[in-house]
Amino acid sequence: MKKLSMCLAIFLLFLSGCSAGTKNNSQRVGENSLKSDWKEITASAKGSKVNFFMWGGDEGINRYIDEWVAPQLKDQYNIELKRYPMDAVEFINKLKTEKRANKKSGEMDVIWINGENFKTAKQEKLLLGPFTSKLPNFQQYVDTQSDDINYDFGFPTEGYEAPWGKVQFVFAYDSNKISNPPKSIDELQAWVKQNPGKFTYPAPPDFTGSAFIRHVLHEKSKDYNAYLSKYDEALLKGEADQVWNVLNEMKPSLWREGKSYPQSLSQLEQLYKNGEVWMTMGYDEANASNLIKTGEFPASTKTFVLDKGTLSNTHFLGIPYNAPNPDGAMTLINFLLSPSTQMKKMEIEYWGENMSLSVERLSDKDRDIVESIDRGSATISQEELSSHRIPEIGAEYVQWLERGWMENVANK
Amino acid sequence: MVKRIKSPGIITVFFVMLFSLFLLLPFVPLIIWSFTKYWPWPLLLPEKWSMDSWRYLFSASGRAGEGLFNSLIVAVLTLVGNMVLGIPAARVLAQNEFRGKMIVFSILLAPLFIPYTVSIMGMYDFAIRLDFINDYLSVAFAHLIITLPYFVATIWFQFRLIGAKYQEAAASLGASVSKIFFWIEWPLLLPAVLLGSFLVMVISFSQYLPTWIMSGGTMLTIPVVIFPFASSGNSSIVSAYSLLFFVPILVLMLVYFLLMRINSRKQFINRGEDIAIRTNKHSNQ
Amino acid sequence: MQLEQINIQINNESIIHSIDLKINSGEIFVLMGPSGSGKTTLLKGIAGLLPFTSGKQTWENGTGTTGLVFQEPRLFPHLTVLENISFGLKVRGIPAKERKKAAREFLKNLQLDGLEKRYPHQLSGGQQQRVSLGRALILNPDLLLLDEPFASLDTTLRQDLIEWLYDLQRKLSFSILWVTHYLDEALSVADRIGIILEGRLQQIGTPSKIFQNPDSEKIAQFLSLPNRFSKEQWSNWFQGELNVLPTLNRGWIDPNHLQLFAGEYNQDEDIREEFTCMIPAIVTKVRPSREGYSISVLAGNQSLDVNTTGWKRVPTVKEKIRIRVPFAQIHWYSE
Repeated sequence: MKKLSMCLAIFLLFLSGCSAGTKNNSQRVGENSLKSDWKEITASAKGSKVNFFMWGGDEGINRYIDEWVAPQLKDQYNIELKRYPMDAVEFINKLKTEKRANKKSGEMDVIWINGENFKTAKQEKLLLGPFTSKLPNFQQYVDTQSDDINYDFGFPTEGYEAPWGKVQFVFAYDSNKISNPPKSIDELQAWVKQNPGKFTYPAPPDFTGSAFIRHVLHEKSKDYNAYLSKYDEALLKGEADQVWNVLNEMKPSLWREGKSYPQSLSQLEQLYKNGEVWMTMGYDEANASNLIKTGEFPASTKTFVLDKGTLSNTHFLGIPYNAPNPDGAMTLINFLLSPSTQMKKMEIEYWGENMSLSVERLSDKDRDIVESIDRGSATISQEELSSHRIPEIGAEYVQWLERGWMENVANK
Repeated sequence: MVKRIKSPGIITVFFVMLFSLFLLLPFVPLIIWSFTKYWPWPLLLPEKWSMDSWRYLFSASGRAGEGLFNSLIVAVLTLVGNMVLGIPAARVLAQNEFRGKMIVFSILLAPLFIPYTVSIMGMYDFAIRLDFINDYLSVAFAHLIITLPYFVATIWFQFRLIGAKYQEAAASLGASVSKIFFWIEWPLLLPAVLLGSFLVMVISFSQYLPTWIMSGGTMLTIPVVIFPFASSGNSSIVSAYSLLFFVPILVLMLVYFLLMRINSRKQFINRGEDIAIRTNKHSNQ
Repeated sequence: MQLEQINIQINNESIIHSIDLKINSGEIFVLMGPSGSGKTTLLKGIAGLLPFTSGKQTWENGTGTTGLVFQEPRLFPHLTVLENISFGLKVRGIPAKERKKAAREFLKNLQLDGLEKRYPHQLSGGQQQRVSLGRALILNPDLLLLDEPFASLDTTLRQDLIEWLYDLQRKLSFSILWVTHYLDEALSVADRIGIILEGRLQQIGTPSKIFQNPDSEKIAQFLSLPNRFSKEQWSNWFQGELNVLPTLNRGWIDPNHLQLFAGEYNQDEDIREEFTCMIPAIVTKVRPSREGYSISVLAGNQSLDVNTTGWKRVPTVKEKIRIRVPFAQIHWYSE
């Protein structure tokens, strides 16, 4: 018995010893990092470990981080990168709890956020502070003046997060079944009437479904740009009825006569895979190509954007207020914003997602490479995408629309 | 009589087969799904097969080894905690009568009945307070709270089954409390300890939220690795991971049956001889 | 071993009240009592499994050891016969080699040679109980405590084992405190008998003393003594004062000593010299027994049992008969 408890005690000591090694590696307090210059930051980040918390539900993205970014970071900066799979909502909640408990040193160095999560994080002071101006790659390659960098769903970023990538909303269709896809919401409405049961959209507040109804708003609104400034409920109230009208007119010709909607994008994609509907959509221009590659979508799948444009948003990287290794975090983010890292991200082999850098700011050589990157058969050209881009609107409008859809469309 | 024991009835065979089919059936789609990315509904078999999910599983991103390792460490720590706390607790509850026994018993079993969300909410707070403790230990601690009722109930039941008669006999032969435990109770308890340990490890293996909360998402056990894929509906990857997940459980099951055999070999050796003795017993005396 | 003023309480309930008992060395003392009378509690107390609430336990030579054998064998199911028997030696820290040797030798006494490697479930009930006895006896206890050790065995096996244990005891000469509720078991081994009722030791004595002079009606009732009647009843039947000590107010007579007569009158009755009486009665029940018949009769409103030996004619139910009672055969005791 005594021997056993001795062994146990030694084992426990051993374990706690391990933990001391991993947990106390925060070299400097975050605020100091914000005051340091880049040389100091990279110097201090050398040999450290960075914990990257990000959504982990995609093999391609995970492999991009683990198989490409991590070894490169180790080679170039001697930084060990560890990816932890976690949904944004969850790590924001975790940060909230830690803030409430006044926890000075957390576990997360870099988090992948945007939109609502960023707004919450910034408002509740869960982020370290403005840091993007320190990053050489941000300064050199990012279009620091553009709205989609300075605003995240209508909320000013103010340097609290660095743009990692951009996605654009596209519709996907089976070119074997549809030869001439609709180019506007009006045309879509007509198409749905002619092909009853072959179209539907995920029920808001699903992220994709919610974005779909914003496209209706965009097309019906007299002045969409008005939504980009301060929240004004009256503005939306005045125009919302037109949105409900379009959706309600569509309803009888939707899949299952609009009596039920897919609850998520994956359900809609399932319907598309099964051939029950002929069109799907998504906030990722490379998604269809990815799914063709894995064999889930038929090879005849193509994508299109509306003539008046489709929504695009930027997703960002942030540093929590209690990051144990803010220097390492900044070094990592800077590395993720380098042209070669961003171009690798565009390859369909890993992720296939658009870069957050401005193509104009790249060197000629890099620009040629970008143009030659294989983004998959279904992905439309960079040029067509960027010329059909509309910005996202504020979270209050989004939520109001989601609630309104429940009242005025779903329950009617 | 003897014949009936040797050849089970057709009905028994039928039900055993039905039962095994019922247990094995879910594995078939799991195996198929793990080898394809796309298997739409009416198709009996997928049209396109792929090793991608398995390749991913064993790539640097797959974290299969890390997940298994962490799951195992946590499960073993949880088991140690159960042994140290659960066996004495079960012993006291089974053999002693005292005031408030029912209260202690219900507190011990409470995690079985209290809604999961309630205990999870408390756990967040707990996690922050226990932050200074190593992640393995704090996660194992959460698992301990969840598994202890199962373990205690199993051991308690066996203690009740053994009763006090052997202990009394041993005491009348001069054995001290510790000798009674190690020489009499422990060997008699062993089948229940094995079953309880198996339960504890399997339950510990399958915990997601408590692991996640106590470690702040940094303890990558198998369920934590699987979860993002499950929530994004990646059937292929989830299937591959699930199959991998069954490996330790299968190994545990084998170990369990092996240990049970070794333990019972002593007591139940030579059934045939036993019958012979019984028929001869009158001539022996 | 001597007990003085022993009290045992369990959960504030008094089970054993002020018991005084001395057991001499080499003696078999049989403790009898109905279930719930506290026999087992007293045994566990003496064995040290239960604490005495008050009282003193002393031994002739300062200290002494006990061995306890339960009604069921309680063999350790995971240990072999040899390991079971040598368990007590293992507890005492005796090396494996020695205790195995000792246990093996002891198996001969137990008539269990060749079974040392068996597990308890591979033994018959009688063998199991012998192992259980051996497990206690190998420690050479000064006092062996037996708690109805053969009660769960069938009659012939029980008798065999009683015989065997009796012989073993005479050979090894340890003392035994033997709890039983079987009269035949008690009578065949007991040097002395003690009667315990409701936690109190009522009477101690040799078997014959206990039967001939039970200390109270309660004891007589527990011993199921037949044909127990009050002195007044006997006086009525004998039609006169009886020459008995005034303190002895009850009497019983064995059914074998009663004689049965058919019809209204028989010459033989008057020829007897002994002091007897004749009781007219009606036969209510007739059962055959080994010796003859066991007959129940009703005399007035009192029921009596009569045994006949070699009686030619079997009385029939409702037949009118008479019973002759020899006064000298009545055992008198006090209520």
